Amino acid sequence: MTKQPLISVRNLKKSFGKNHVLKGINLDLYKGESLVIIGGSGTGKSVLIKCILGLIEPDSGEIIFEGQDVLIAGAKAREALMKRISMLFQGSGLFDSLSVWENVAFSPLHNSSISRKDAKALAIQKMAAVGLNETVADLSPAEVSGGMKRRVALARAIIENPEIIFFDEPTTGLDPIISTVINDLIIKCVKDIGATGLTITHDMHSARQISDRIAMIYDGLIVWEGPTTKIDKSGNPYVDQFVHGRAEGPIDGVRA
Amino acid sequence: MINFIATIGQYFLRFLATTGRLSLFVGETLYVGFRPPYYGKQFWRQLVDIGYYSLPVVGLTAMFTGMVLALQSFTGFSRFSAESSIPTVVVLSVTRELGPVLAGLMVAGRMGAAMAAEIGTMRVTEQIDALTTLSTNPIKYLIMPRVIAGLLVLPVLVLIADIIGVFGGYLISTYKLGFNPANYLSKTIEFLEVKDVVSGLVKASVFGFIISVMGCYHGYHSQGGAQGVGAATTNAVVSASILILVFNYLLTAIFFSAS
Repeated sequence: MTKQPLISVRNLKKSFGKNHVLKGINLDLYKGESLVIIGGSGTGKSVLIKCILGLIEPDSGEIIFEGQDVLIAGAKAREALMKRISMLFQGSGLFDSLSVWENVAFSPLHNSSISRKDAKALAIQKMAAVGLNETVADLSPAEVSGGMKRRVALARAIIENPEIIFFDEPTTGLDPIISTVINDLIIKCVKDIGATGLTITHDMHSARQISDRIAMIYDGLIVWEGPTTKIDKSGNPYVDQFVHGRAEGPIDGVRA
Repeated sequence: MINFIATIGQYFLRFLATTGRLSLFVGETLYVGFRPPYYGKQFWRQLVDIGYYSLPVVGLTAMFTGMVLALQSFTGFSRFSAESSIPTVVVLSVTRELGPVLAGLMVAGRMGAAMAAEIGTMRVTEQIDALTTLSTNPIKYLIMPRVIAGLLVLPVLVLIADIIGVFGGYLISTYKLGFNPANYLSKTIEFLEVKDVVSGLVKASVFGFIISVMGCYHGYHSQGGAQGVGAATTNAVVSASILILVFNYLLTAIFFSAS
């Protein structure tokens, strides 16, 4: 029996004026796996993930979640999908006006009847899971380092035990040691709550560390996808150039 | 010549597109904003920010406006011995026009800019996207509390500005121009009608709506980092100020054209 994907993207297209960013993306995300989409800057990775999340409206195509095209099904189906997905943003996306613990507990505080005391206790528990000390709970996001912000964002992403977690460039801008720590936390957190992970990155070290499967996007199309173990023997010139970071090859070094 | 006409056409089409987007934004705000969940804490925060923290600047503006009005009226009216009209001129000018317009412009500069900058920064740092992924509608959470707070708090601010403005005129008239205090107060009330105050408060409510909608709209649609946020802030203040002046004329025409 063929395994049914949790989310299926079919022929997804998105243009901004004359800039055709997504030219017909086809991609499947299976339950329980960790899929990493690699690709250079400006190749449409973030646009793809934002289309799936409903933050950007695609021009055409299908996003099928549990057999239903959420683009046709409307706002309620989209809301149902959103309740099962959480996201870790590239810049963390923490709310400046709230303290660290209020950021972590934002969803339970605003979408359930939990008391502030219980929400804070839950936030501190999730903060501990990502290696954050209780002492930072009352600080503002502006008072913590870049690596800590990423941890806070990760704690916020896992607080309601989502089924699917999207990671947008989770290690960009972090030093190699903190990057490895964040990668380890991502693996641990996703495994602990049994979630499905979709990560976009151009960091090959990070991609190898956290993925079961890798897909490469170039010029608005998926040009290769396969198990992480086969990335070095893909036989795909785009993947080879990207993985080895070579200036020569089919990928144009000067992109938009 | 054709280029000139094409440029005008482009500006006109851009104006129509912006008007359409703004109308949709207001429509969506009103459509989703009145449905639960409600964010009371956000609403109270905005009431305090727009109302309480704007009091000093609005109060000072009203005080000096009332003082200048009394002084200018005196120098003008004394030429034809009409000094006794000064209390009436001060109170009618402040309650009908200067109170709401000046308070509106000051709040547009203070809070319209702050709203555009805060929401614009949230937009370019992905905080608004984060709200959506946390199953929280940003229109409900960010926009609606500001719009309702602006709508409700501006009339209160203007009422206080009216009282302070009239008091400013009273101070100058009694301490500098030699008016009898009791006589000044009785003249102030003598020709003042409920309609004069109410029209000012209605104007204030409309101005509060304009300020918060323009601040939120420009912030919500800002793009391109710090420069985009800066442009959004400028656009919010300029558009709100112009709309305040336009709607002030329209509302004055509606309230007083028949009288």
